Amino acid sequence: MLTIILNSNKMNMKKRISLLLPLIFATLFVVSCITPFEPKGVDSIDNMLVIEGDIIANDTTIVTVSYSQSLSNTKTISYVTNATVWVESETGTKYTATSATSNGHRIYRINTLALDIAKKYKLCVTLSNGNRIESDLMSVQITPPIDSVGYKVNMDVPNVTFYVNTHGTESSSKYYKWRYNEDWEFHSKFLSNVYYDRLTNNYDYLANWSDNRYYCWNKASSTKIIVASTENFAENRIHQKELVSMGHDDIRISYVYSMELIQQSLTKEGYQYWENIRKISDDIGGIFAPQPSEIKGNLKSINTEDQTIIGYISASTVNKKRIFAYAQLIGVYDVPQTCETVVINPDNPGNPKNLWDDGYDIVSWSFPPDETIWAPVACVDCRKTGTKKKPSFWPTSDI
Amino acid sequence: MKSKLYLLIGTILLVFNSGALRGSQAQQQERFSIYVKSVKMDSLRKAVNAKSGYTLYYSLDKGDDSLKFSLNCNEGNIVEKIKESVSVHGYSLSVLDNSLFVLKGVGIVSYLPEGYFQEKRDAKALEDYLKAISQDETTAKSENKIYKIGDPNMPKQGNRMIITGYIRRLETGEPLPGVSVMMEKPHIVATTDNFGFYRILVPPGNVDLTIKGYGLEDSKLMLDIYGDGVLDIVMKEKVYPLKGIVLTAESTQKMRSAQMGLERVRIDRIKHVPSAFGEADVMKVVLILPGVKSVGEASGGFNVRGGATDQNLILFNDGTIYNPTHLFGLFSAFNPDLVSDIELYKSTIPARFGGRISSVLEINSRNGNSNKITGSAGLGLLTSKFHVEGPIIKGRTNFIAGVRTTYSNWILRLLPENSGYKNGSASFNDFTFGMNHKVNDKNSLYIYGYYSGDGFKFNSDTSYSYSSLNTSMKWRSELSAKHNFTFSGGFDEYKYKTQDSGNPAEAYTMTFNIRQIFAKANFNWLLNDKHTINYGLNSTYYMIDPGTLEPYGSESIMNRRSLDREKGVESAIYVSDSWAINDKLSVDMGLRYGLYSALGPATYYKYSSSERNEGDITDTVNVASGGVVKTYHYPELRVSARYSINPNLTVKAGFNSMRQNIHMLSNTASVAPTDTWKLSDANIRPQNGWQAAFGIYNNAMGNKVELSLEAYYKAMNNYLDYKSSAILNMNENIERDVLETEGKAYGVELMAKKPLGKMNGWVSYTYSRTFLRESGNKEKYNINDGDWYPASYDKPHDFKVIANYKFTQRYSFSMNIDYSTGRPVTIPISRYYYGGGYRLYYSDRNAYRIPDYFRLDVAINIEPSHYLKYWTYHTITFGVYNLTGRKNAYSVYYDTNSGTAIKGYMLSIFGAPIPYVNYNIKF
Repeated sequence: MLTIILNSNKMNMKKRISLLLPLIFATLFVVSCITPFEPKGVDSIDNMLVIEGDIIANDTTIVTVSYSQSLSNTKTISYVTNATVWVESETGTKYTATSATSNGHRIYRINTLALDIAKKYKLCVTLSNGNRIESDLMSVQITPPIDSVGYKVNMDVPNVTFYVNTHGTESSSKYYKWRYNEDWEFHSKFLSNVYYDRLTNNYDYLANWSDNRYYCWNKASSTKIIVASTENFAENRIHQKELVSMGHDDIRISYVYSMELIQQSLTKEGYQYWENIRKISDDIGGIFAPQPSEIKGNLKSINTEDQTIIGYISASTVNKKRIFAYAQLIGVYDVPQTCETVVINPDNPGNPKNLWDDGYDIVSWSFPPDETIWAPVACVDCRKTGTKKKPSFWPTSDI
Repeated sequence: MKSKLYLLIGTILLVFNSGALRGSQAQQQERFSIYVKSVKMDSLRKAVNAKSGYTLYYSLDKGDDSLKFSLNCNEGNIVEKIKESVSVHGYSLSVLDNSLFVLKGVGIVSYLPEGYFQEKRDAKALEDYLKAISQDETTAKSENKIYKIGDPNMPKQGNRMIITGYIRRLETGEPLPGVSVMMEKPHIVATTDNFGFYRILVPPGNVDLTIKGYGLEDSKLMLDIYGDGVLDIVMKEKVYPLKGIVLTAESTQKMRSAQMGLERVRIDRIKHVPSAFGEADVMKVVLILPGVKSVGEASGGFNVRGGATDQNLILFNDGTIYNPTHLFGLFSAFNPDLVSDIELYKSTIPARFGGRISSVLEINSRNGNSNKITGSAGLGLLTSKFHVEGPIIKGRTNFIAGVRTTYSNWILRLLPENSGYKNGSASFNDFTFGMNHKVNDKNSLYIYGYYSGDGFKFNSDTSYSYSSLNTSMKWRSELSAKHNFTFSGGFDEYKYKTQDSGNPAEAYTMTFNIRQIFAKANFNWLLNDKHTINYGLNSTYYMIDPGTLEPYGSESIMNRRSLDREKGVESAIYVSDSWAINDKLSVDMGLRYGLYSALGPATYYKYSSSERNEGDITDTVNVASGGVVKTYHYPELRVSARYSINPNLTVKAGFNSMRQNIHMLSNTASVAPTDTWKLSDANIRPQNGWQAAFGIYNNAMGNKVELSLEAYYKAMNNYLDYKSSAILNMNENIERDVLETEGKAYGVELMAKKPLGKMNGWVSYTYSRTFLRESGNKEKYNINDGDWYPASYDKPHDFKVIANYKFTQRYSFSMNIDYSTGRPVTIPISRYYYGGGYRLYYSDRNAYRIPDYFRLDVAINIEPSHYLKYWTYHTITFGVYNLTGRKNAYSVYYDTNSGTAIKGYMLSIFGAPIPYVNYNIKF
């Protein structure tokens, strides 16, 4: 019955208090608890238009158009793929997007724009039914470069937290938004130089080392909204803004981790919009949590006045920075001790086919006598959770 | 013997303040002899008192006042001789030190039976009894004693005489507020004020007075009135008879006074209400009164008849309390050992109160035992407490002081290592002090002090503290028999501080404080038997430091910022008249005229639109120090009327209007410790509200049960809501982030109350609704498209039972049932993919509800044994809070991180039965 949500990330104070109260009671009487809540008669909305895509003056602009879904919907994002999307300057110049698929997302892409940053721009979308949606005309925010991306290790928890440092000028925007793309290299627990072929029910040594099932790569992008304001600071400087924390069992920091951070300046309105989404999606439910309420974005339908369109379109330049972090230096990751092995030799004969079908893969082969060692496939074959696609920029020589 | 004793102390004990009526204090002489023959008892008394050094008291039965007594004695045999003399007529003589008592029958014993009083009385403490039965030579005309007021030889002219006096508790000498002194025909009723003082205008001649107070023995007094006089009354605490019901003052007040919607709860009732940790909780008791709601059980605020939490004026000995709770709302910040009673005005608010638009909650502290030094100590799971009270100068100066502190740090140490809270600490404490001094018969002085502090520290990087400080002084004077006057003045402070050093570059401390100085003068003037006039002047000077943010530590790059201090002065004059038109009809009419000025120095903007965006600024105005930023003035009307259809059926109606110049800004459903307060100024207008109410009151089942129905409609304006992106702390231009909101509330409260008896308590049902909407005629609304939406505390159905069953004098069983409709919440109704993750889209404000709330609490109270020989007395309470263990939802949240289906969860704070034991020791 007792559930306590704890988040090692820095939480705002109100949330901490709200967590603490149940904690006090939990400790005292084990009375505070969390149970599922399914309100009756909820009028779920599943067809609100959602448009995301900041106009990036110095890089690729990527726009997604989708519909919102009801909460109980477990399907993937319902994309709108047949819309016409373009960016239009205040003087009427149009930059049209092309439809594409990127990492499973249906997007509209306008390749590297070199926009005149003195002009204002708007995003326009026309749906197949002729409904046209436009954002407000936005002036381009100039984003300062990222000073550094670093990490700090807290061995008490233990975890590692990546952070960013940056600064603007007195007159530049005080509002920042970040997102990141991350890649990591990891390896399986056992290095195997043999492979098993089920068709022939035979095992053999690898012909090419590049066929190894030991080194793999994976990639992801930020899912949390990361925004900050320097409004209350003496100078327009961001010091160690936390981006993401990873614990001792996080595979991303098991070997080599890389983060490409993309920094973007926002207007105050843009900041408020993103900050509100962050608050009402991440920060709610505590005793002193703020009451959720929606902020209207800057998109509207030209045809129908009162259609609610979710989204806020900013216009800015972006700055990127990539860093690499090595597990040896971070020192937080613990290798899980969960791989048991099965040995097959004349004393302990077994059928490799059965083992394979039970989810085992071969780790090693020696003879004579003919002896093979098997382990669960996840411990041997990294391709179960990753790919062999090594990013072009990768610093290691692993293949 | 026992029945005799009941008879004696069960009656009202009277003290005549006129010196002549008191027993002689003559010095004992070396040798004497007394010889009298066939004299009346009073002559005998005079002779004995004059010569013997003894003081003789007597109480003659009806018709016995013409009896003649003879006495011939000397020093050696006086007691035996008097005994002989009075025994002829069936009287007895009892001796206690230098006092002699002549009483019918067995007489009194000079000691009390074990188990009756909590303490053994010495001779001095018995003085009250002695005075009580001292007599003058009144001719008895009825079976009761007749007490003579005024000089029969010089009867005063006129048709109304003023009787004034104090009603005090026999055991401790404490004044008893809210006791009714009534005359049946013609109907005249007076109620003691918070000082136990009453004043009644009665016709000359023979008058029957009935005196009733909650938890006190009802009594009838027969007076023979010749002129104005003083009559102090000492009343005995009721030892609840296991059979038989007595009409109480509460019902009397409901039936006889035009006052509506007043709930008074005395501490002994509060102490019997089961609570989460067994600690008698003043604020939680407020929540069980009909018409009072809250957003949840761990929230500090309460809502009265649809009002917001900041619309309640909470007064502790006249000092304004801004945060009445400890531990973020879990405990009330008042030490129950020092509280006498609470009074909640939820409908007709007397003209002497102002400054909030919903209700007034007065918490009165006790005055302290005037007989001897006593105290108590208590141990609970979270708190320990201690209090002491007693006389400093006997008969003139009393004090009471108490302290509570917590030791909850150990709880945090029990938390798991990786919780991040293990090194945290939480603490609170409060200190209460009161002193009263009788300057002379006409003037009294009262001094009060109160401090409450809370501190909380998270894992070494975030700390949080808040505190209240109140000091006040009150001077009470009887200007004349018909006119008295109370002046009070004081200083109140509420402040908080937060410190966050999680990121050294962003480490800061933020402080906020409200300070106010107030002065109140109140006059009470009994004009004649039809009119009682109340008039006076209130003035409060407010200073708010809305926020100072300072960098913390050398690495911090935070800007030091301090918002300009806000100042304002709020004054009001008022007059009200309680007009008893006839026995059936009476009217209370009050008018209060308020004047509020926001004071400089200040800089403010003028805006072209009600949205007050930065771009709408049309002008910047600078006001110099001492200048006036903006003045608001307004009349407030307080009217109520009562009509008695018959002695058991009364109807009342009232209308009330109020203003408020200090506003709490909060973006959370419950009262949070970082809520900020704002004074009215050029852009923020005062809140105003009015309430119309109607009530029917019926005493049923031979006055055993009080039935009442009250219905109300309420409207409020300029209540402050906030925009979605509002920053409420450290905001220089808060007017740009807030929204003027209007509200309407209506409801019906039904209540059946059985105040006394073996089984006592009440059952109430309330149907009420509260709606809010963004005010103004706007093109684009921020909240709910400008439509009405239910307030967070809108719980239409509400059913409460408070019951206490006394098995014996010592053992009782208490039960508390609380059911209400679940409160409205704003929940997500759609999800969408944005910024790399699933986000939530929320419904209109408060469009859905959490499940209904239900809680049953029980407790068994074991009162102290009454053995006199014990030096200390123990009270033990066993109880279970939330016996059924229902997981009442406090709040809901949604998890967007686990998988793709978004699930809702409810957080329950007390989701299981909570047993408790509470132990108190009294000495």
